[in-house]
Parts: sequence; structure tokens; C-alpha cells
Amino acid sequence: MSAHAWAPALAASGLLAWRMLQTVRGQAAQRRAVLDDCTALLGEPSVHDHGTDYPCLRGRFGGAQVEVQPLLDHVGFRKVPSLWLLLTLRAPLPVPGRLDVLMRPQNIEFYADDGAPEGRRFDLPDDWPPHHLARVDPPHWEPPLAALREAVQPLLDDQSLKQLLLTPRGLRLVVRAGGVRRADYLVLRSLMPEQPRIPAALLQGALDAALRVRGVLSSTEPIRTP
Amino acid sequence: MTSNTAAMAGGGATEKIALLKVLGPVHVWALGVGIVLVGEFMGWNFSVAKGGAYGSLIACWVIGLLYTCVAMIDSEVTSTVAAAGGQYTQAKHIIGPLMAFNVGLYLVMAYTMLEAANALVVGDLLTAVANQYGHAGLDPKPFVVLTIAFLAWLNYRGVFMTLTLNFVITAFAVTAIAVLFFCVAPIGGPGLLKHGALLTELPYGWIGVLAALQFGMWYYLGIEGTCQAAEEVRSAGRAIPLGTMGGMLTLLIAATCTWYISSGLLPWEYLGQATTPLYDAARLVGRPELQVLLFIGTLFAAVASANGCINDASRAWFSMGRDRYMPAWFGAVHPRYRTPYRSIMFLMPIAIAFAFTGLLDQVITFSILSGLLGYTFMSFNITKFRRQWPLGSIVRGYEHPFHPLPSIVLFVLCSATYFATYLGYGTSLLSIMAFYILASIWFVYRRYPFVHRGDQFTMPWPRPRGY
Repeated sequence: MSAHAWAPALAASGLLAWRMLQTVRGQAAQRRAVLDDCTALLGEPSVHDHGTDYPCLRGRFGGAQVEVQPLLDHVGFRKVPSLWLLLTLRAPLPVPGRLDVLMRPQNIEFYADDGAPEGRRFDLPDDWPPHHLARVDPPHWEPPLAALREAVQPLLDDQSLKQLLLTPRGLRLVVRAGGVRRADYLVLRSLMPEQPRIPAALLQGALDAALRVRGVLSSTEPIRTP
Repeated sequence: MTSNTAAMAGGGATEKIALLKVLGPVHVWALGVGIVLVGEFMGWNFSVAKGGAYGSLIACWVIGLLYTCVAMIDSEVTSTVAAAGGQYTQAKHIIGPLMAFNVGLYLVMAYTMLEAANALVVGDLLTAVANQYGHAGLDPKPFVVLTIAFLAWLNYRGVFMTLTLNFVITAFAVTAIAVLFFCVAPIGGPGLLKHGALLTELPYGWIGVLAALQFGMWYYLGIEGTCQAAEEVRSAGRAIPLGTMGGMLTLLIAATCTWYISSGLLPWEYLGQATTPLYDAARLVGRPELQVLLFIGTLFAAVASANGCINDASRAWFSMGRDRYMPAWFGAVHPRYRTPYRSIMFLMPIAIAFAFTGLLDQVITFSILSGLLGYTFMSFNITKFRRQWPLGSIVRGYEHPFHPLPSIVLFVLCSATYFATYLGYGTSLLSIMAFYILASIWFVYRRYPFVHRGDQFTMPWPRPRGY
């Protein structure tokens, strides 16, 4: 190839590389801003950015330490990725162990699996959505399921709730905050978010539900292990 | 935004989650065409070596019927099994762990082989260009390794997969085929095609046409991915058949155009063993700009396809790890990048090893056979599915018509394709069968004790009839 032929090829490659860099930087900036609309909801908010994933928002809400972590789950085979919001309320709860309710389980929920003992599996009452996996540990504990359902009812109604986890150290709600553009993912496996920012109303709903759950447990007589 | 909505099942006691129904036939169509695009640039032409140019065209149309049956059956099952995951999840719910293990393995092997084939094409294409510009003897292997390693790294990092460059890749590849067609077709002039001189009778008779069925699958391999949209279309009964059939017709037309261009420029003896038939056709036209266009088009299509293959194979392997069909070690997710990194890294040397054989037709045969095995079992799966959960017992997004005719036709055509493979690649057929049988024995005796049986069935369906 002559120098005349190389020049446009190099220029085109340079242009593509520059465009790629711009795109990558733009998307990184978009990820960093994902929780910008939500920071005002928390007291003493602080954003922690690892640089590779979505940033984590920490602050106080209802007198408790709160942590909000968006997580893009794209490990399912032929499953359009979902953006989950992991809301952790760090406040001691008067519960004797752990209750883990996973809605619509598919056995690939890596974010909902912390390697804890399995405990006892049981079916939730009929007023809960039927497609679930519920476990409790210690096995004899009977959690206040009716009150808990009422506390998370709005999240069950719009079917955004993925996980409800209760432990003596606090509680976690996992809710669906959105997804990626379907056609882009299915054809090209590109992860293009449907909406760049998580709406404050979505987090507000999850925070309110978390406080209601804490309220339910606080008003329930503590159960002691024998 | 795809938010969840509820759909109540027949008896009202069972509920399933369905995604928002926003897609129309056009979306389904675009999905199908996008997935299979790379098949136009390479692989299909091996059917010409078996049955001649006409034999290849007949195979293309007959295998179209096989895929019509696949699409009909897959649409019904996918629109009913709400959990995404395609044939793997379906097998897990309808048949059981051994079938799911095998289907998972077919998927992983089919995608890993396709990834190896794509990398081979990249290597051969660069070697061909180097030869043309006076650098004879360039070894394609470093380019093969670089392609696979680079794409594996992108998949490992995860976030970089969001490059909008991919749009350019697909659009460019489609444009390249269209431009080539309009440059050589006899539109407003005599054109450059020499069909009169190059087209021959069936060189090996009708047995050659039968043998060509094997590579006829390459025209459509992967189009059943459109059925994954069954849950989200506004009217599954209308959009899935219309979109999938529309996609198949488009591919049929695109494949016929590709066949028309290539068979009018290249003798069938050469076309049947070419690695990059469209690029070779562009070289014969003698216009450098067209040659550059097809070079970039082929390169982009192969790289984009390989990228998708790494993504799919690693996620299927990851799911098998999570289900304990494979060691649970593979079910790990990277703590920072949130990708199934162990699966990605494990499959990379396997793809490189197959690509290093340099035998594109053998690698494609392995990929086709793995896909074909999956299709064969679909005919059994749907029969069992209809028997265990008859119409009306659970909500189906789409009910395919004329059951059990499509499953019978599918089984007959799959059997014919096995015979076709045996004619040309008997050793490959027997070795891959032996591999899957040995893997199944290993699973039953060594892995099955580790499977958490209670975790397998995740659908809230009523008990099957006869349980």
C-alpha cells in the first residue's frame, strides 16, 4: 500500500478511536450521575464511586444509615439486563434470625446470594404473589408475614420488588429501577440504559417501604431463640 | 421502559410475570435479521461444495422449513416459560436436569464454535489482504488469538460492551452487501455476472443436494432468538409468526442475493471452499473501493458476531454453574465488573484451540451439529409440554397451530440433516455424538449428586398432568 492509501486509513482509524473514547467517557459520566436526582432524599448524602460500576449513595433516612447501590445485572443467558436498586437500611432489628424472600427466582440472582445457611423453605400465604422463594433461619421462626406484606404492598403491586431480606443487623430491599434498551441488547449485546437517571420517586417509594418494614418489626414482640 | 405487568393464568390461582407488551412485528423482524447477518459473509458457501450452486439454493429453502417449525415451537414455549433463558430454561422446566445439562452444553459449544469460526475468518481475511499487497505467507494465527483475546477482555470488563460502535458495524455490513449487489447486478446494463457460463447441473445429483442441507442451516442459525421476544410483543399470535417469517424471508432474499452474486462471479468449485466468498467476489469485480467496503463489512460482521457469541456462551456456562450442572465455581461474578469472568476466561482457550485447527468447515460443522441437537430435542420437548400442561391449563402467550405436525416435520428434517452430515463429515458427527454421550454419563454419575433439585423448577405452574 502506498502512503496515499495509508493516510486516509490511519485518519479513519484515529477518528474511530477518538469517537470510541468519547463514547466510553460519556457513558462513564452518565453512570456517575445515575443517582443525582436522589441525593436530596437523604440526610448527609455522600456518593462513593469505584470508577468501574455504578456509584453508591450513602446517607441517613428516618434516623437510620442507608446505602443505595444500583447494579446492572447482565449475567443471565438471553435475558434482557435489569438495573436493580439495592437499598440497605443499617439499623438493628428485633428479629431472631434471617428472612429472605426472593420474587420471581431464576437461580441466577448472584446479588441476592450471600452464602448464608439455607434454613427452612416455606410457601408464603396466598395474598403474596405466587412466584417466589422464601427461606427463614432459624427454622422455627414465624415472621409477621401479613404485616410485612402490607408494608411492601406498593412494591408488590407494581411488581418492582425482587428481594426482601431481614437480619438482626438491618434490612435490604432489592427493587427494579429499569433496564437496558432491548433491541440494542438482543442484537448487539450492548448495554444502553433506558433512562440515564433513577427517578427520586422510585427511591422514595423504596425508602418508605423500608421504614414501614422496620416499623412493623419494631412494634412486634421480639422473638427469642430457645 | 419494560416494566412488569401481571397476567393471570387460567384458573386464577397461578400468576406469571410478563414484560410490557410494546414490540411489533417489525422489532421481531429486525432482531432476527441482526442475529444471523454474519452467515451471509461466510459459511453458507460450503453447501455449494456439496450440492453445487443450485443444490445450495434448494438446501437454503428446505432448511427454511426446518426453521419455520423451530420458530413456531420455540415461540409457544418461550412465551409461556416467563423466565428468560431460551431452550436451556425450557428444557429445565419441561424435561429435567439431564436434558437441561445437554441443551446448555449444546448452546455453549454452538456459540464457542461460532466464535472460533468468526476469529478464523478475521485471520484468513487479513492474510488474504496481506497476500494481495505482497506480504505472502502471513500467519493468521496471531490475529485469531488477538481477536478472541481482545473480545474476551471486552466481555470481562463488561462496561466497554456498551460501545455505540456496534451500530455502525451492523449498518455497515448490511450496506456492503447491498452495494455489492447493485454494482454487479444487470440493472440498466449488462452487468458483470456470468451465470450462463458458471452455473452447472447438480454436480453430485440429488444426494449432493441432501448433503448440502447441513450447511444450509448456516443461512438461519440463531434466528430462533427472535422467539425470545414472544413475551413482549403486543400480539404474540400475530407478531411472532409475522416477524419471524418476515425475518426469514428477508434472510432468504439476502441469501439468494448473496448466492446470486457469488455464483455469477465465482465457479462453484472455488465458491464451495472459499473462506470469505463475498470478499472474493468483490475482488473479482476489480474496483478497489468495493473491495475495501467488503473487507470492512466482513471484518465488522465477524467481530460483532464473535462478541455476541462470547457473551452468550459464557452466560450459558455461568447458568450451568449456578444450577450445579457444572462446578459451582463457574457461577461466580466479578466483584467489580459484575461479569461471569470465570466462564469467559475458561471458554477462551477452548475457542482458540478450535480456531487453531484452521479448519473452518469442521468448526462450522461442530457449531451446526450442536444447534441441530437442540432443535431435535425440541420436537420431543413440545410433545411432552403439550401433554403435561394441555392448552388452557396455563397461560400461553402464543399457541402454535397444527400441533403435532410442526414437531413431526422438524424431527424428519433434523434426521435428514444428520444423514447429510454423515455423508460429508461422518467422523465429526460420530465424535460429537460420542462427546455428548460421555458428557451425559459424566453428568449422571459425577455431577447429578451436587444438583440442588429443589432449585431447578422456578415456575409457578400447576402440577403437570399425571404427576
